[in-house]
Amino acid sequence: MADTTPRVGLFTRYAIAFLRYFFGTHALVSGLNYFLHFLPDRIPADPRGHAFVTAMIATGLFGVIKVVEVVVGLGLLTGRFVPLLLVAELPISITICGLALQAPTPRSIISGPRELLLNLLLMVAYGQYYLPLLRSFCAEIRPLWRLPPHEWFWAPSRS
Amino acid sequence: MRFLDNLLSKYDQFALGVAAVLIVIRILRDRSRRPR
Repeated sequence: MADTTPRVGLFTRYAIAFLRYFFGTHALVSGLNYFLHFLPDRIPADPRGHAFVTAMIATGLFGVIKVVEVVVGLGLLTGRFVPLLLVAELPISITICGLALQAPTPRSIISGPRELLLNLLLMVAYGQYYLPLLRSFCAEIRPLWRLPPHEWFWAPSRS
Repeated sequence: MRFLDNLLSKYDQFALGVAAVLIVIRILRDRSRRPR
């Protein structure tokens, strides 16, 4: 059956690419800065947020998050595995938004929700790739180990 | 510049700059590839 989905216009395509570059660079810089310290660290001043982030650093989980951010940043900037990486970033975006709203400052009241909104907006823009996940009843089971390796990944799109 | 610093963090300013450069490169690349 022919694909009758209307293609997005040039402006929309560039707007989505711009948001992807912005979000990707933000994640990459945030992740790399944890290891390289080239910008001031952003630990929340609010006692609850500060305690949360300090505990994350002490347990080593913050480092794991920063590695995820670096991978997300590289993927979004190069356009590889974008839908998967947006899902990986979503819990981080929710946490950033939540921490920013704990004790909002004029900047964080914008930057926190913006992080989450950008993540969700990009997921909606790449929505077609999530549609196979939205099945309420999955009777047929085809485990990865029963599929030939060439069916694991989709062929790269040239559009 | 002070207004920009109040509105956007250093991270935001850097990310905006990189995104702007990348989108311009992409537009120019697409234009040069498109058949006339």
